[in-house]
Amino acid sequence: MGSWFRIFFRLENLTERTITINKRYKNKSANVRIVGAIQNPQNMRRTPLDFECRIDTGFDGGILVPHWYRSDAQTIGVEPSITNITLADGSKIPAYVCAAYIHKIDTYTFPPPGKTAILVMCGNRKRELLGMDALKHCSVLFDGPKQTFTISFG
Amino acid sequence: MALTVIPEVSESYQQTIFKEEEETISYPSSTPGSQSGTIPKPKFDLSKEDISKTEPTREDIPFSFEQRIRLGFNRPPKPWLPPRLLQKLASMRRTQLKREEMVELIEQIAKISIDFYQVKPRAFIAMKFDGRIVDSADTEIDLLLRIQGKRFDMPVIVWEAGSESFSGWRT
Repeated sequence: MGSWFRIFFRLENLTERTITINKRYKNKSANVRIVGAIQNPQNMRRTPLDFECRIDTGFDGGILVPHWYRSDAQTIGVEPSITNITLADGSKIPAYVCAAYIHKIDTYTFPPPGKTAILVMCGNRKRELLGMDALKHCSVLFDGPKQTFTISFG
Repeated sequence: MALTVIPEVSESYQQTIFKEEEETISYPSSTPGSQSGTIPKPKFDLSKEDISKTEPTREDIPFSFEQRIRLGFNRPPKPWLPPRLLQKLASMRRTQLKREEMVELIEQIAKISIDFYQVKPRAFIAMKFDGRIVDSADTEIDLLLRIQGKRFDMPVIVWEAGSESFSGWRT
């Protein structure tokens, strides 16, 4: 009885533990690798996403990617929707959006089917951004003097 | 107010109606001393065309958001979009719009659609370029997952009611 209780207690601790990613800045910015997919719920086809994102606390969307990801989505039958987004200078531009699943943020793997995030497709620059909407379920701590950052998944 | 379905009238039944109409209706006289009289009922021809004209039109039905969802947005009332927007949409079919023009067009269509359908603020809607709402949800990710992979005859705009843009600064 006592051993069963100990096993149960250890399992409880495992499920409630917090996983932390500690990384150094790269080129003066906090970058993490994102592995995910765009999935078509109608035919279950998916196109993979794998890139390095910069954490942007000024972007309140999910993930910002260049506009050519739209053609990737179209190959599996997903036609991204159009919307307006506001840039940091206050100007508005049209952009394409669709839903995507994040499977991994760096070494942390989300339980299946992954975490849903809004994929915003606009611009030509190959600089993917990870916004506040994608980070709303974790804690991010930036240590400026040490040039490190910590992401905690609870 | 619900749409009432008027059953089709067969020709034999119509003839019965006409026959009854031709007959005079007798009534007792209410004034003492006077004889009970008869008055001929005025004739009128009843055809199928007349019956169909009596159906309630969409203009007669008071508008409500729930009713439009139930009816499936088959016939939006006219005028739906202003001629200026229709011209812009027509030009969009031929050539690509400038970025600023597209932003303005999306905002105007969203405003008209949200006002017309009386969408509550903070609700997320997906609408077509003709202003018809195809789906709505409480969160943006729910809405995107709902419409993802579905086929529409024209591009779909995703919009948050009460905001000026989908992401970024919400003013």
